[in-house]
Amino acid sequence: MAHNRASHADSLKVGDHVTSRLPAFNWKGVIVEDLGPLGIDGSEIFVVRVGDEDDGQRFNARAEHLERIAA
Amino acid sequence: MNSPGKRDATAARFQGFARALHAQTADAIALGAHDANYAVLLYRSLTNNTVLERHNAQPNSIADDFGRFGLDIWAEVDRERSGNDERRKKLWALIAWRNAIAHDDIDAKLERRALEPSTISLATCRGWRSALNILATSLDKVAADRCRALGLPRPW
Repeated sequence: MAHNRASHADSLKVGDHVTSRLPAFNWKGVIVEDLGPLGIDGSEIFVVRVGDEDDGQRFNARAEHLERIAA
Repeated sequence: MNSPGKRDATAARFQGFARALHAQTADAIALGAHDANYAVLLYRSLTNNTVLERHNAQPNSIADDFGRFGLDIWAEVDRERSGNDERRKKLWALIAWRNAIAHDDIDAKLERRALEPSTISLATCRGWRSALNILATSLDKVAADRCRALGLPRPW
């Protein structure tokens, strides 16, 4: 799997609205936590929330798989 | 007596460790997928709405989240090192005290004998910290072994 983490991880932060860079996924979410460089290869890992604050899904995603979008 | 903040910090640090270990294990397993889409799908599934994100790192929370890897985590941790079952009881004790402090109901829980030990000292807190350090080492090894058992390279 290709990783170009620096260019994405440096620009993402908690509160950013994001979507998946991979065309197979169609969701929009918000970064709610920066877990730091926890990836096996040092990749930045973020917790993303999709949906409501209470009922939404929260899951981890690698920085290189996320793309910031307008709120 | 040690400060309440130190007990809370010990519990919080252990929760941070458990979450990080879970995230890394999930990442290692997902990276073993045959393509990028499947890896992302797997990583999301393994980390979706984890218990450790919403609750303290009590043993059942850890068991629930690491169970997603097909792992009976405490059985493996107990096998990994003698005495870990007793250390797990210390984790329960720490979490019970942490919750009593956070919810400001120490007296009520002491009356119900829900806190063990009933008094704590600096030595108690050091004992908890020592137990958690050893549990963390065992958890780390068991998680890495699980990756290997799934046919993946040893991740750390």
